[in-house]
Parts: sequence; C-alpha cells; structure tokens
Amino acid sequence: MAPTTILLLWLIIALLVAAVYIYVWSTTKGSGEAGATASLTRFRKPLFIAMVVVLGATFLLTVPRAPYPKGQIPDAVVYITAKQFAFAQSLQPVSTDEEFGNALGYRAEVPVEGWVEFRVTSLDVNHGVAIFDPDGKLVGQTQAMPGYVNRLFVRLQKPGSYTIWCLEYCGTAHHVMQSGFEAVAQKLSSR
Amino acid sequence: MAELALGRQHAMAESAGMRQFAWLWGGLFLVLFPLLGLLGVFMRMYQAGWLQELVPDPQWFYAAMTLHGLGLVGLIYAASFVALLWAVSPHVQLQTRWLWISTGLTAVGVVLLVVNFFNGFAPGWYFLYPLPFMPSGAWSGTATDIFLAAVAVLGVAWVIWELELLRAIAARYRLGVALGWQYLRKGEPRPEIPPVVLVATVCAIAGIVALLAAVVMLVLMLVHRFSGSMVDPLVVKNLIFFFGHTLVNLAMYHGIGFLYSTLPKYSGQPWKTGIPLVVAWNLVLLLVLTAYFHHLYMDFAQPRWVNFVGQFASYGISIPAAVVTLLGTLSQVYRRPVRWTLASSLMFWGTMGWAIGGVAAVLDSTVAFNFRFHNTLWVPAHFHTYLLAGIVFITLGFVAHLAQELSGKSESAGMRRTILALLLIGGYGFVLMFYLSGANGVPRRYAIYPPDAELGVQLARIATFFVALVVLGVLLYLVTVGKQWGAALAGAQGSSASD
Repeated sequence: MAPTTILLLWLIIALLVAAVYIYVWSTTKGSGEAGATASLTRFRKPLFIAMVVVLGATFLLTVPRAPYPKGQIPDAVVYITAKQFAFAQSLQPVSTDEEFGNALGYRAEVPVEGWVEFRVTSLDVNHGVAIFDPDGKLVGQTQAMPGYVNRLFVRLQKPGSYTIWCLEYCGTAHHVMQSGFEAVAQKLSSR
Repeated sequence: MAELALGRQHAMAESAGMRQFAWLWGGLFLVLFPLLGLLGVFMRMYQAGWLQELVPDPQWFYAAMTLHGLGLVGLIYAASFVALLWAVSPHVQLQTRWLWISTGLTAVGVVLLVVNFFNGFAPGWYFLYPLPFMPSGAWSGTATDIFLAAVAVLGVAWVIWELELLRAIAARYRLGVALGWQYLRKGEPRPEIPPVVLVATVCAIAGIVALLAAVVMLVLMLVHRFSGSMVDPLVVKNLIFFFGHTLVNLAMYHGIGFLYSTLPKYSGQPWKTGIPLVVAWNLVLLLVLTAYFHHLYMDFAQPRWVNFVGQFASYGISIPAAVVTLLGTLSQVYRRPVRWTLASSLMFWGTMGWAIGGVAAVLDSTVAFNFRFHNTLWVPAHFHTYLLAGIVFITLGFVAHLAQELSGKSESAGMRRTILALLLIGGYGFVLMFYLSGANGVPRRYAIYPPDAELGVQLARIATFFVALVVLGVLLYLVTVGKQWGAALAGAQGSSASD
C-alpha cells in the first residue's frame, strides 16, 4: 500500500474518532441524565470483535508482504557500506577504511525490474540506507549496523537516477549523508 | 486504639507530604514543559530555514533535538508518574521520603543533561550505541561520561520510586489481588480493588523491568567506555528500545491511572473494576514488554519471528486501550451532566489524542508499511499526537486539577474554551504537517533539508504557524493555572503560619 493511501486511511479513521468525541462531548451539555443508565459500554463486545477481525486480517495479509529476503535470486548485488558521513558502493565487500576510501565515488548501475540485492553494513555507527526513486518516492530501506550485514532486496520499476539518504541519525552532519546509483535497462556494470 | 490513632496521624502527615510533593512536581512541569517545548519550536523553525543564518552550526539543532527528546520523555514520564502516585495515594500508604530522594536525584540527572546541552552533546533521545562514543569530533568524551552519569542517576532515581510504589501496593494487597485476579474467579470478587491500583501495579512492574534493562544497557556501555572495545550494537539497540519504548508507553498508562480515578469526580459516575478491565491490564503487562520490537523492523539481521511478535503485540495492545479505556472514557461522560473544567476537558480530549496517535502507531507498526515510514516524519507525527495531544493534555489536566483542588479557585468558561481551542487546533495542525511530510518520505532528524526534500521545508513553515497557536494556548494556561498555583502556595503558607 502506498504511503499516501495509508495517510488517507489514517485521516479517515482520525476524523471518525474526532466525530465520535465531538458527538459524545455534545451530549454532556445541559442538565444531562444524571443517574440514567445510558452507557456506551454496550458497544464493547462489537468493538472488540471488529478490532480482532480487522487487525487479525491485516496481520495475516501484511506479514507475507514484509520486506525481508524470501530466497530471491538477485539479478545484481551491490555492497553499500556506511561511514560518517558518506556511503561507499562496490561490487565487493568493504571492511576497512582503506577499502572504503577506494570505493568512494563509484556509482553502481543496476537493472530495472530485476531483483537487486543491497548488502548493507557500517564501519562506525548505525546509519540508514533509504532508496528514493527518480520521482523522489521512498521505495525501501534498511539499517546499516556495524558488525552486521542487512540484505535488502528491491525490484526497481523505473529507469533513472536513484538517491540514497541516510535515515538513521548518525551525527551532526547526518543530513548531508547521501549517495545515488543508476537503474538502467541492462545488466549491472562491472568495475 | 492508640495504634489506630497513630496510624491516622501518620496517614495525615503522609497526605500533607504527598500534597507538597505533587505541588512541587506540578510546578516543575509548569516551568520545564514550556522551556523544553520551545526547543522543539526552535527545531521546526530551523527546518523551515528561518534560523540557519542566525545559528549556522547545525550541531545546535541536534543538541536541541537531544535535550528536547530526552528532557520531555523524562519529564512526561516523571510528571505522569506523580499524577499516578497522587491518584493511588488514598488507597496505599506511600512513604514520601523515598519520593523526595527520587526527586532530588532526578534534579541531579536533569542538571547533568542541561550541562551537556552546552557541551554540544547530540546523540538524539535514544542515543543509539555506539554514537555517543563516536561523535566524529562533535562532542568530547567528557560529555559522553557526563551523559552516562546522568543516565545512571536517573535510573537509580526512578527505580527507587517505582520500588516504593510497588512496596506500598504490596503492603496492602497480594500481587495477584493487586492485579485483579480474584475478579476472574467465580463469585463476588474479594477484595475489590480500585482501577488505579491495578494500573499502578502494572506500571510499577513494567517500569522496574524496563529500568533493569536500562541497567544492563548502561553496564554494556560502560564496558565499551572502559575497555574501548565494541559490544554488540544489536543487543544494545534492543535494550535501549526495550527501556525507552516501555517508558514512553508507561507515561501514557500513568495518565490513564490518574484518569480512572479523577474523571469520575467530574462525571459523577464511578469507574469500577470488572473483568474486562482486569483482563485488559493483565494483557497490557504482557504486551507492553514485547511491542518495542517494532523499532527494529528495519534491522534485517534481527530474527524475523521477533519482528512479527512486535507487530502482533503492537496490534494487540491497541485492543484493550480502545475497548476498555477509550470506550470507558466516552461512557463516563456520555449524556452525563459533566462538570467541565480545564482539568476534566484536558483529560477527555487527551484520550482522543491517544486514540488518533494510536491509529497512526498501529499503521506504522505493520512491518510492510514500516518499510516506507521508518524514520520519516511519520514517526514524530504519531508520537507527538499521543504525547503532545495525549499524555501532555492529561498531565496539564492533572496540574490544573491539583491547582484547583489546592487553591479552591477555578477558571472562567471563556478562558477554558480559548485555551482548549488553541491547543486542539494548534496541536492537530502541527502534527498534520508531520503526517503529510512522512507520507511523502521526508526524513526525520534533518537539520537542513536537501533541495530534493523542499516539501519538508514548506510543511515545517506551515507547522510553525500551528506551533504558535500551541505556544499561545500554553501561555494562557500558564497564566490561568499559575495564578491558582500561587494562591495554593499562599494558602499553604497562611495555614502553616496560623498553625
């Protein structure tokens, strides 16, 4: 589901909640019905059942759509290594500062519509690797954690320049930490 | 007989001590909440591009972000805890000397955090390890040491008052009774327990467990500090969020405990313990300790099943909240001649913020959705909704309730409506800009937005307009409640002089 659709869903529910609150508040004006048995607790059971059904169904429907590796065979593999305040891309793992320095400036080319696997890690603190498509839409992300490799699989739909932004606060120049790669209708270039 | 009289005398002294304690914390909240809130105003204005020439070094944005986050999470946790203590104190005998010790230690911790702001300390409110030790030259090792000391002091302070609450409950009720298990057996429940006792028990147990996680986290950080070698960052991240997320959740539950005991004073309808309430809060105790996993969905190295437990717990915990507390709040006032004051109004509308922010939180706790929402402005959107428009409203309600109760003075209806309108319109307009930004992929925690994220700048500018309404609402609240606060102090001094 697109984030803007989720926003719309939230907005509709939020307005419904607000409408219920305003209505209930409006019933408290005047002398009221002191001692009356008017109570909303009769809605407890239906609300419980509705929430269990809706949340249960959402759980079952969304779990298979979780972005974790599902045994896909990647059409291209790119290693992304983070270090305050830059990303290095390469076709080989980067594990030292020297290798990191050598890999800086390389801009990967990956195929559109194939599975691209990003193997993401960090040489210092936690970072985030978030991929934005040529229209600026966030297509997916994972964390870059020192000592761990997070495998992010994405299938890119559009050719063009993709941007990587750091999405985990990593220090006082966090906002300048960016990189990018190209998605093209051809195989991954070799270095 | 003499023993009974002595007991009553002791209870009266404790009650007076509790009043002083609550009065002090209410005053602290009146001073610290606006100051720490202004740091947030500074951040939004900075993101709007209006302060970058005046303060060219973005480090101050991040230092402000750190103090704003840490300070307000701590303040809201502590002030709401005091609201809970105030509400539970008629039912259990708290020894206020422990509460005063906690308060003194909390003050030390806060001073250390404020000192560190001027040291430029800026690892964010959840100080994700190993960032405090690897600042890339932005702050010194001494600043990190001061911070670790602050965490240690605050941890000790808060364990003390959580333990004191649990001790006071245990002195009157067995644990199973305090958790309401007698309601689940056939027949009349004996003894009956007030809802606030059940909530306080759940909060104290979860609070102590969360603070123990903080101790382990601190020990691991100290291992790094003294050995210089890395400890497992994924383990530390789990511990940080187990502790941090639970503490933020508990702040809301503290407020709910206060609500259960206080809203009936305005609606005239008692809020009784029953099977739904008992089942709900026992479930909360289980789920609140596992929901935190949703902070680690994007750590793909985390075992996958753990993340789905996080989604299950995050979904599950919304059910008792809606079915028992939110519906219960609406039932309390529905077609009743409610005495609407600033206090009761803020409590009522505060639960709406919890509901609306909770919906956004549930959406974000879906692994598949979090893939595109994690660390965008959707995150501050949902937590500002249930913090600012939720528990802060309830805590402001607590302080207003206390001020009226201690001073005997009340505000005018016009002033009450004006304050509420400003806080509601300003508050929801402010968070709406976060939601719009988050849904469009605007990152959180960027001092300066790159040209590709110009939308973030535009929405930050609109947000500052709504923030101005909130600031005005808070100012009017301060003037109104501040007068009552002063009158309560004058009254207390007058009565002690006549004594």
